[in-house]
Amino acid sequence: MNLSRSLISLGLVGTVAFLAPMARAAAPETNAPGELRVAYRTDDKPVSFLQDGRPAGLLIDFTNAIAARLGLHVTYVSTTFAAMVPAVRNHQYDTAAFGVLVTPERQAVVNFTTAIGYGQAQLVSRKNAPLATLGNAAGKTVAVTTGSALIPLLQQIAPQVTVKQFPNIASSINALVSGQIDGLFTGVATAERVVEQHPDLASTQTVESGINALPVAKDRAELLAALDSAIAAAMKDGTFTRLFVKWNPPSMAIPERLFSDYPGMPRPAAR
Amino acid sequence: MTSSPGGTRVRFEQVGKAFGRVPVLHEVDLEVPGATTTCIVGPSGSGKSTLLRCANLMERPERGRILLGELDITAPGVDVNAVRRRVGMVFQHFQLFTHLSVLDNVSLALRRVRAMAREPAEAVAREKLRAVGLDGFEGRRPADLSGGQQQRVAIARSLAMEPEVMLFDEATSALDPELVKGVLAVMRDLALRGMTMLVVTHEMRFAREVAGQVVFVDGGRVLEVAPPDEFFDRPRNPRLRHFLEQVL
Amino acid sequence: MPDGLHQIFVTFFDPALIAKALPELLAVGLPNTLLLSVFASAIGIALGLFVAAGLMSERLALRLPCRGYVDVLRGLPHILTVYLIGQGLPLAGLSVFGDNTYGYAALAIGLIESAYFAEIFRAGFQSVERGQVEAARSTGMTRGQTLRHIVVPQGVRRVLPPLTGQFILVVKATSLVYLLGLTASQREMFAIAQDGAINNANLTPLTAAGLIYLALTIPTTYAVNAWDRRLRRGRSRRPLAVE
Repeated sequence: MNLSRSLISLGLVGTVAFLAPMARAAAPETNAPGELRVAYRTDDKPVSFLQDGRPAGLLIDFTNAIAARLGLHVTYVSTTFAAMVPAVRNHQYDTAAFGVLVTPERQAVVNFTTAIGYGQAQLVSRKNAPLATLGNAAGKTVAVTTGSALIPLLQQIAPQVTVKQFPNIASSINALVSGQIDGLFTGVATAERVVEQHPDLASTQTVESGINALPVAKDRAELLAALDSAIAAAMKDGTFTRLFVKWNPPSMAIPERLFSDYPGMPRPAAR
Repeated sequence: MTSSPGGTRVRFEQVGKAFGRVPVLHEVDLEVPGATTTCIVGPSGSGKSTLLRCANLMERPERGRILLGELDITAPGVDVNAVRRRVGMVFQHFQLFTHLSVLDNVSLALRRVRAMAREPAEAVAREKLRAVGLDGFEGRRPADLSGGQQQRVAIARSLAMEPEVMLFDEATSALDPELVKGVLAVMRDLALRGMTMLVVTHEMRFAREVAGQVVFVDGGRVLEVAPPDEFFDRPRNPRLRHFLEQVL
Repeated sequence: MPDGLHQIFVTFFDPALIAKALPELLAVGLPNTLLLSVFASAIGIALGLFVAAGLMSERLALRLPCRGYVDVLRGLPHILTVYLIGQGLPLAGLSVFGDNTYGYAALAIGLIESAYFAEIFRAGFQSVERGQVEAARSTGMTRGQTLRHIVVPQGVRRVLPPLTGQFILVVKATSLVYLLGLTASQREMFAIAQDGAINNANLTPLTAAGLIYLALTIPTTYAVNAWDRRLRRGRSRRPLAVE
């Protein structure tokens, strides 16, 4: 009897010792155990969009890589940009798979990871009626997406410009093309895509808009810490670099500040 | 006598009509001389209302023709509305315009069809209301009137257009007995003033007293036409005799 | 239980947020909502009357296009229709309202609602007794005159309750204008309430807007119902006069 019990105990200890390394990084607490619920956009190519009925994009791939490091399985839920930050605070999602511009207003509502990008916004206008800079666009009408953090930025750098809020990029493009408005102010990746698809539009002024990071609810400190370390690791081992090159045209460069944020992060091979 | 000032006549020549497959009128010949009253009697379903309604093209005959004065109203290309301006109609259920006052009911056609201005149209309307004994009722609504009053307003409404012929489709059949007399008095008065009238009715005493001729319609055919004395006292057609036994 | 109620109260009825939201709702949102409601309703009712008359026409060449009009405008998602009119027209070079968002929104919402109004009017017109029409025609009135002076006035009165209901839907449909892009001062009540809800991560601004919507629609309903009752009753209930 004693021998059996000893053998069983030994077996158990051995199993635990064998399994321990795999379980070492216990998954951080999330809204649903073992699952990372991530909000994504269906219309923000190449960062976070819908392809063949499934989420795809730079940050989708990046989020998958990070979640794997954390031992979490990812569920993606599509959402509108404007409603996303409160939804993270209310634990509807754990985080989002698109870079959210960090602003004091938003920091009051949620916490943010370390940077995953630096926002640049670009002004797009018609070639036959270009707006060179926002500073010279007094009295003109410029579109932004409802709820975008670019609105206070616009108000700060160009208070004379009339701001019109549109529910999505598509409708703002239509309004610009048909002459209803004079310009569109949006993230640089989106702007590049818009100009590529519409030969009669051109991008002009570029403005740095701030840090992009992933939002996390304030009462999920453990998750925040886990995400930060996973992000740092994925930056330093070249995952982010590889994905950035995969999803962006050669003309787009990785923001310099990322390299100084994450020492050891590899640069892309010369192309 | 075929037209005013002797009064406008109405003549049915070999008029035939069916509703779909069901025949309703067969080869009807009838002359209503100008300035006279013709009463049409017969069992229900005999086609007498249909016959009456052909006279102002509310029903369209399929065979034969109908003359209003000298005009063949069944000829192609005839302006239906022009015919109806000359022929007035009074319905069994009055059909006053429920959303309008009595005065507006009577003056509406004058203002819209004759394009008269409001004041002269209303003056004519008041005169017609006086003629039917409803002086002072101008502001009332149809729903506030008795059946007899409503029917008299309906008569005034038709008379406002100064028609040459008046058609009465069982005008007293929906009235309570004590109200029938008032309406018949108005109709008698019209007849005495020389209106050409075609009256479908069950009121035999009225027919006897006012009609120039009485017509018996049964099964869509005119079976007998005669002056009232002959019609009621010496009927020839056996079906008419049978009918009169039932109703008198 | 009390905790659940407390949660609801805090999410929907935060008094501080109601006080914060009301000024802008009343000063900017309400006039915009009213403006758009009135124009869209006017277009909807005017077109609805014409289309209803067309639906009852004996001419196939008139009836079929009206039928198609009603079926398409009622069947398409309203968001799509607003985009087709509000952005499609300018894209096609037909900037009939210049760059005035409200013009396009009023037209789009008016067109959508006219399809619903047309069906309501048609039901009203068809419920008018045949005898009324016969009596009118017997005096020499044309089909058009009969329609205008007898069928429409009586038909409309018969369908006042569903008409009121449709008008309330118009008021709420004005929120679709956000699809066409709004400056801050162009926002109607729902857009302001939504922005407030997002910025404060709390739904109370929507409740505040909801209260104003009720303040608009409920008195209107009562007023129309009172009018409807008066029309039905006739002017007075006096005993019938003696002959």
